[in-house]
Amino acid sequence: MSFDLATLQEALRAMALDAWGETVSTELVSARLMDGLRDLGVTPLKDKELKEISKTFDIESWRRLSLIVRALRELPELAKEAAPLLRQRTVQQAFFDFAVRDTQLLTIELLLKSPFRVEELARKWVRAIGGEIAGETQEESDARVKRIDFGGVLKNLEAAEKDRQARQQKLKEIEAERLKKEREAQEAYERAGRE
Amino acid sequence: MEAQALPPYRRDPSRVPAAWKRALDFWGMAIAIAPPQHKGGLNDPLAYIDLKTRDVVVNDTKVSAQDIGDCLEAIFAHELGHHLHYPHSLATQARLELLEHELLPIRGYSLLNLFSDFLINCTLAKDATLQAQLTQIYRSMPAAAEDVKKDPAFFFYLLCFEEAWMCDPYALTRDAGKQLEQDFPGARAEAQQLAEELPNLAPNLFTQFIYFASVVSRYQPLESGNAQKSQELNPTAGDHSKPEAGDYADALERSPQEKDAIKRALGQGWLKPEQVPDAAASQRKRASALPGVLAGDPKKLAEAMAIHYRRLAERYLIQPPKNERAAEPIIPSTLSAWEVGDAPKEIDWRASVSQGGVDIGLMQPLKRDFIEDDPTDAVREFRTRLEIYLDVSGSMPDPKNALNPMTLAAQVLAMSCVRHEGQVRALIYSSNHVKHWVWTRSEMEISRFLMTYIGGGTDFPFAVLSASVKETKASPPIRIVLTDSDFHANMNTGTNRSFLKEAAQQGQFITLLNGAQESAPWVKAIADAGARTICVATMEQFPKTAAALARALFERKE
Repeated sequence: MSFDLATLQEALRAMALDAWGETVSTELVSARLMDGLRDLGVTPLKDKELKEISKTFDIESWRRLSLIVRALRELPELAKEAAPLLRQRTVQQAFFDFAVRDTQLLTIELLLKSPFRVEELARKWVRAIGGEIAGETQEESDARVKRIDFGGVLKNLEAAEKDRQARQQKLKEIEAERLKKEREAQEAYERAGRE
Repeated sequence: MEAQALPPYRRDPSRVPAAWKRALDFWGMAIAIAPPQHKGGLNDPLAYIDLKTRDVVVNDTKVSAQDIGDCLEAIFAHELGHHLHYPHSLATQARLELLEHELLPIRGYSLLNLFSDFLINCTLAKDATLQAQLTQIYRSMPAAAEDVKKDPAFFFYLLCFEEAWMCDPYALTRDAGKQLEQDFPGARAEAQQLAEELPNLAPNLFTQFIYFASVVSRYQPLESGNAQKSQELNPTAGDHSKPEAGDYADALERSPQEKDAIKRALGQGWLKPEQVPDAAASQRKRASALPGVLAGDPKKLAEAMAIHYRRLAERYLIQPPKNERAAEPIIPSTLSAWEVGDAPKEIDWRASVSQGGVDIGLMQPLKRDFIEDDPTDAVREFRTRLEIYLDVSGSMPDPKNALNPMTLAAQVLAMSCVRHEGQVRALIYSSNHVKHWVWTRSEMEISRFLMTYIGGGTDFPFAVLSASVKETKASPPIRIVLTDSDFHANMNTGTNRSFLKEAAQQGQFITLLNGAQESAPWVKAIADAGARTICVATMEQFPKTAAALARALFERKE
């Protein structure tokens, strides 16, 4: 099953915008998720089971989950494409691992700031349910996810920061040397003028 | 025949106008701009916009050499982008230049063109056709692995486009991109973060620039010892005009927007506190960034600083009250009834008879009122001449590079005199002297002259003073010397003291003495020679003291 990335991205971005500053009701998200699964022919989790699994979820995980649940409710095409895939996945794989582990750095604020992060969220969910991106091979999709993975970016930024500090130190030394030479030249000039 | 001489893309006469129109349409604004001109050689920019006249020029030689005749639309749209948005005005450009120099100096290299080009091209790339054309333009540039050393910042900038436009890795940077990632770990992640973050920092252009520069400054070449100009590879480098002296003068102090940007940058950690100079150091650094002798534009530097000094001097000057002399009431005005007690000669018999008839006119005559001649043309009676001697020896800063309070004081005195209908001439001296010895009423002329700097020792030109005394016997000027204790040493050499006495006897001879105290023997010695002494404890007090002196000298008591 392949998904149109642009449509999914646009929907998620609009929903993130709606969700900004709103409090998320964990009960409501849980109830809607289970209802939705039932509608798609997927066996929902029992209430007790859901409570047990979700007791460690942080608020941002619930927010991400609420975006996907809303997308499934409001985009019939998406739900239709996703249904057969969801039936082959566990709720844990398709929703909880995705929202809690795979996308843990993607806060709503970050999603609103950057189209890259919305793309990452969309791609990671399609991957979580075993789907494909329309117009891309699996390798291309994997490469793109790897390229925009925020965790990976942050890790590389650490390396960049380390290198930056080393370069700044070197620049400081060069600049100090230059200033010293300039000062000496100025002093020599002034001495010459006074004499 | 003529068509043959044209580059291939110009042989179809509709091609350039069509690309020009599409470029104008892209920005969606009905702007009246003359069609592009075609000129330039291989060493000139690919295209150019004069931000003052809005003339766009495209360099056919370069377009042909790079085989990018298909990309005219993107080239035109890019140039228009400079006019419409980034930097939009030369005033903004001047501010950005000075901000860059103040906070993130990269000697011999500027990130400004890359910055404004990046913002423009990110906007253009929203249109797939323009994005393809921009890609073609950048791909027409060399990008071998060894090119990275020449201009790493440029290849990082291309990396940012790869991320912002989500193109394939190395689509623009090619081998150079791979080399860059090796030389600069995490370069692609930084490029992605920059492409992601920069648009979020709008609308404050200065915030965007500080962020951009804080990231890209890492890519300046270290190998050249940070002192040589790296080879700028950006094909659209230098593609718009430079600010004028007035723009730089306006930009010498940080604007509120810049202050906001700096505050935010400090909060976000893009700048470290030690990178941000205090207000005085900020002005010094900005002044030293003005294009000057090294940039082959010394006149612009002097002009910008002269404007800046005039504006600073304004703060010390109070608009003089109008000092009018009542004019003669000679202009005939309205008629009114003549009454007993009024002078009979005021009666206008002709008007009385013509208005009231013979009987009534003679019985109730009218008088003609007169008003003064145009009161705005009232003549000032006060005239003065001021002769300034300004010490610019080595211990004083060059007024073009840093704020010199003594130069500012001279400026205050000169402007105040001119505004009170006086005339000024000035001389600056150190071990030698330069003079503007023609009496002038032009603030601009005198302020430009005061930007001259000599440096070196101190040798007051008593010979010039003596000649001046002889020359101005009929109408001696007020003479003011802005100096320090060196004047005392000069005075005691040879017959100089007698010259000073002669000048002091002829008219007012005032010395403003830096670092002086009334009780100091050298100050007393100058006073004993006949000069009036005004002690100025510190250099910073000079402008204020000069303003007070100017008020005392030039403002007439009513």
